[in-house]
Amino acid sequence: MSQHPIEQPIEGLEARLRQAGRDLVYPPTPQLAGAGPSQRAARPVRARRLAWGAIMALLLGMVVLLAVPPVRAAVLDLLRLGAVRIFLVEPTPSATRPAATARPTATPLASLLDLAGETSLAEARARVGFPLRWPAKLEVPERVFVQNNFGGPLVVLVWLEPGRPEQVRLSLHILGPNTAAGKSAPELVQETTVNGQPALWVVGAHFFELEDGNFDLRRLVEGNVLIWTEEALTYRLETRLSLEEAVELAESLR
Amino acid sequence: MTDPDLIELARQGDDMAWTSLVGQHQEAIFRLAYLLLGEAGAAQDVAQDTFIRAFRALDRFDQERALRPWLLQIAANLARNRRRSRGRYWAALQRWWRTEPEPDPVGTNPGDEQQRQWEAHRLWQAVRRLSQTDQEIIYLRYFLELPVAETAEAINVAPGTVKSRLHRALQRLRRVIEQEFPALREERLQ
Repeated sequence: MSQHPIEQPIEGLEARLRQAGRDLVYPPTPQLAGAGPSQRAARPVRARRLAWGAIMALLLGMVVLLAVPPVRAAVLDLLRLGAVRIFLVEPTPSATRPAATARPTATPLASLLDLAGETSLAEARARVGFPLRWPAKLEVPERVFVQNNFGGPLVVLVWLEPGRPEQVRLSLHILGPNTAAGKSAPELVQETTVNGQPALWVVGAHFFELEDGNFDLRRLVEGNVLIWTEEALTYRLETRLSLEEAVELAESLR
Repeated sequence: MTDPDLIELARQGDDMAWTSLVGQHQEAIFRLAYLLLGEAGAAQDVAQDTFIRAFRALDRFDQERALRPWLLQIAANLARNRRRSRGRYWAALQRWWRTEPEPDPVGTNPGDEQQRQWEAHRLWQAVRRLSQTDQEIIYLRYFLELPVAETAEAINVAPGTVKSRLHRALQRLRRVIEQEFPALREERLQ
């Protein structure tokens, strides 16, 4: 009986792939010799143009969609990821929208201290019923906070700027099951992926709100935020890093 | 002059040394980017950005390592990020494009150059249906024909892991061919 093709040895396929690499018609290799010392500060013009084009297209699409009330509700549903809802509507009158900044700055630690509940990593692990993981590139977090007032546990792991203990370099927020949180009026929300799963990249200053029926706590976030989920947990990475760097960190949790 | 010699000179600001390194490796970098992205303009951006980033990081580069896998690793990461940022709708469009009805081979003689190019292109399209992780290892090991050791360095795993990952990737590729690229089934090509 002949083997099903899927079960056949792979040697033949290996040889075909090698041959494909030789037979494939590649575009001519461009001369890249300029990508060196004299141009090390340069960015590819094409990439920059495409990036701006994508951002403008996304913004235009959001404006058009939000201008139509029935569609607006649909968009609100779309931008819900794990425990986090993102409100693309005007903030309440009391919530003055922060001015846009060309480059986000680090979140002052004082705003994270508003959460209270500072504890040790060991204590945090004992108090929450899920594993605490953080990006492999990072050392053990320097500050740890646990909150249980918002429907479920919230853990905030904080890394500080070297030599500047008052400045947060980045923070990882782990929202447990049933925790409810919201964001209002971010500058830009971009869809992306983390480990192949949907994720959101929130750009620009906005308010982050923790909810327990009413919004109990509101905090100004001045950095960018990557939001993704793994199993029942929702992760928020607040950072000044680029999207690419943030995703790389997010995909290295251990 | 060897790569480590050229790297040392480039670190000291020698433009010619860096130009020489770029010239040696630009084809592999550009081709990997093209295989991963499927578009020459985007591949050129990634290849250019790869060398710019590599130059910026040259002081931190461990000269005990080979340069080519390191450059390929940077290129693969940049391509990965670029694919992410293209967004869901563009990806959906690409999926639609990739699942267009499969044309018949243009030639009848398997030894014919046009036929071989057709099969190479369709095999590439089949590989592109796999995850980026699977694609990377297949492109490095087979399309660019890197040795196992260099492939391992480029994707930052042990050589033994390369073999097991390749095996799984090829099994998945075989399923893709079975289900979506019937003209590439081995029995039809023999």
